[in-house]
Amino acid sequence: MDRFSRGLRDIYSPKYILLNLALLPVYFVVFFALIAYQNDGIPSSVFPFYWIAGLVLTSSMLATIAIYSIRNTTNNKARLSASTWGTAAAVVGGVIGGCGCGAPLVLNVVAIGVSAGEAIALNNFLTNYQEPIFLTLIIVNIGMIVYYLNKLSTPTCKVPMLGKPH
Amino acid sequence: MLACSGAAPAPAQHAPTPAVPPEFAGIGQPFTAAQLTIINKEPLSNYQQAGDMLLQKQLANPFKLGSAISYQPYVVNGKPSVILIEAISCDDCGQSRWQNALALATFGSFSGLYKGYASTGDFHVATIYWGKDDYTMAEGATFGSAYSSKYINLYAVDGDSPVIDAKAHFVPISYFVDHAPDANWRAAMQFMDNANHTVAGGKAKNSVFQSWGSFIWNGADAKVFGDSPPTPLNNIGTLPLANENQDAVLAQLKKPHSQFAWSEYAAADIYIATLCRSFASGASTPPVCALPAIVTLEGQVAKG
Repeated sequence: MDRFSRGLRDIYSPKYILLNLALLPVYFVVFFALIAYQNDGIPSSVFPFYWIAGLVLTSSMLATIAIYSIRNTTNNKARLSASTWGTAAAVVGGVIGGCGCGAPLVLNVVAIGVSAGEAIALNNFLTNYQEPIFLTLIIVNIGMIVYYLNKLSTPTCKVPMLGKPH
Repeated sequence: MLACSGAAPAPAQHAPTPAVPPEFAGIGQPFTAAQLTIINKEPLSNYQQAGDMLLQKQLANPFKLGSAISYQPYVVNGKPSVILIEAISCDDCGQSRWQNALALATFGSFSGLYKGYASTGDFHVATIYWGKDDYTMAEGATFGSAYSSKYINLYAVDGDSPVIDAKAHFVPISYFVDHAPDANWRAAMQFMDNANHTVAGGKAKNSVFQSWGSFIWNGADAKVFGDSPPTPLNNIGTLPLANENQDAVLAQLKKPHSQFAWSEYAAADIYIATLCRSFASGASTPPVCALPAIVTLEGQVAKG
């Protein structure tokens, strides 16, 4: 926990707080653009807004951590996995978070040889379990944030910022 | 003293009929004559005014003008057909049936409609069932409606699934071919499955897949759940259609003055224009096709 809070303090300087604030609307747009694309242009989700805010906030934090790691460290995997997962979580959330009759983008799996019946069954599954899937995405996001903040505060990953004693 | 020992058989009990939650009030009940009249006998002036409002962009709800896909008509007994493939577990279908009914009523009349709800769990959109949908069975289909018209044929089918504690339950269009009750229905459903492969890449499901004369609608032509569309902060569950019953909807349709009511008529106008455009030149058409708003909309409904 100590390392986590130290990692949090190290990363979230005013510059990175601003970066995270700038990334927030980007992820909101990604999320709602996917929903609107599947829902005749209407950006309305079935989930409470605070759930969506939770996913978008944690995804943007992962991207912030990834950017921090790219700029300030030389020996960690967060640069790729944190940014990729955070974005993937927001995308998956946007695909399954629409309202009405499912996740039309999922039906595109017929293009890779999946039968219409199987594609629709997948659509039904994702629609029926969209709430636990969505909450799982948030929880995994939080878990990855904790994991990377811990990692980034270890001596092998951490590179001292200029002007700061180490 | 009564001693109870051993394993005496318990008295026979009937399983209690599960109570219908209040949000599904009246489900399965037929419309009264007065309620049918509201659908069947609305003055054409309502359709004209709604069409004008749509064309003048005075309506807040979203409409899909220009989205009808040109396709061959399904003609039986010399009349073009309307074919509706929908589902109980489909909010979009729920809101669309009101517009379908208003549109169809200008080409003929209903002698029976049923109170229904569309639900995927949290939402319970007040709607119409065309027939006696089985809203308790795990999977099925209800074919048919009580509709007659001298201009068109109507083939309406709903995919059945439990409406209370509902889950999304969609099936491929081919399901309705396989489960058609007779050759006539099988031919109509095969026509729709062919259309699915031609215009929708085989991906269409029973979440509003429709044929209106010479056009296919893959999805509804509008989303009308209240006076304004759902937003990120107000999803469908917060809007009136997900919280009202049929009586409230019919009262608004009878005396339209809200965005909701005019939007319902406007969405019906788009279907009407699609159908009016499908009649051959010189063919007998109902009076609604002569409304100026419908004539204007005819040029705007289709892709391309």
